[in-house]
Amino acid sequence: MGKVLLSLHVLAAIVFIGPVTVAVSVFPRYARATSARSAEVVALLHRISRVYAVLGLSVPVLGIALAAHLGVLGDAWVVASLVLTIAAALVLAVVILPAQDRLMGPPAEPSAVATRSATASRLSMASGLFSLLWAVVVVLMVVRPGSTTGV
Amino acid sequence: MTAVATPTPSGLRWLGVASVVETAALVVLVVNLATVHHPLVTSTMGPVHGFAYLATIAVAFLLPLTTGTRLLTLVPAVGGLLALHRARRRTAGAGGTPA
Repeated sequence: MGKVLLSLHVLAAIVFIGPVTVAVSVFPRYARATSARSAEVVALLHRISRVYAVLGLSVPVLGIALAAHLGVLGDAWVVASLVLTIAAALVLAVVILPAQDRLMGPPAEPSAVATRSATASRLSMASGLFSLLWAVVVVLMVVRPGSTTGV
Repeated sequence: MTAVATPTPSGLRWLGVASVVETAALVVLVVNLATVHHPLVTSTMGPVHGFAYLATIAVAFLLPLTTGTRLLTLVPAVGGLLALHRARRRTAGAGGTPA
């Protein structure tokens, strides 16, 4: 059962978190553009961000189930990963997705272009932070400081 | 976004799937606990229920629903179904146009 959970956990992380990371990092560039095509791209990227964010919830759930199965749920590296995962989820849910919402559709008036650009810049920064948090969690998962499970 | 937004049918379908899985998985877990108590059922349906519970909450917060309906999804076991019922009634009451 442990091997099945681990496989599903890694598979879900690659298939679900990967697209979110790419979509949120590419989104600001297309949100700054004004062509009709970029509006379509932005709509698709927003959809990918939202749908895969929900599917990505399976990754920590499977991770917690796996950690409980292995009896390492209280280990420092697991707790640290969980805290960072919650932080990444909050950045996505509270900062990135609402900012993407605001950047959907064409700019209402020329004066709104500057505000839009500022929102896009903040969104770039939040996207970078999101990717960084995941990178740290992956390193923790691979190195597992203090772990003796050997799985 | 000046008009009051109503969730699209496809959005509500997502909420419906997540809610049904959330409740159904919990029923399976409880029945298993009361009867055969097979560990494989627990370790399979546990994560399914956990994921469905979180997915229900996430979908509710992504859809244009009222705060009350969203918070309803936090109720364990049946929150998603309650929220779905409430959202459907409101959509029907508002004369929701098919998207």
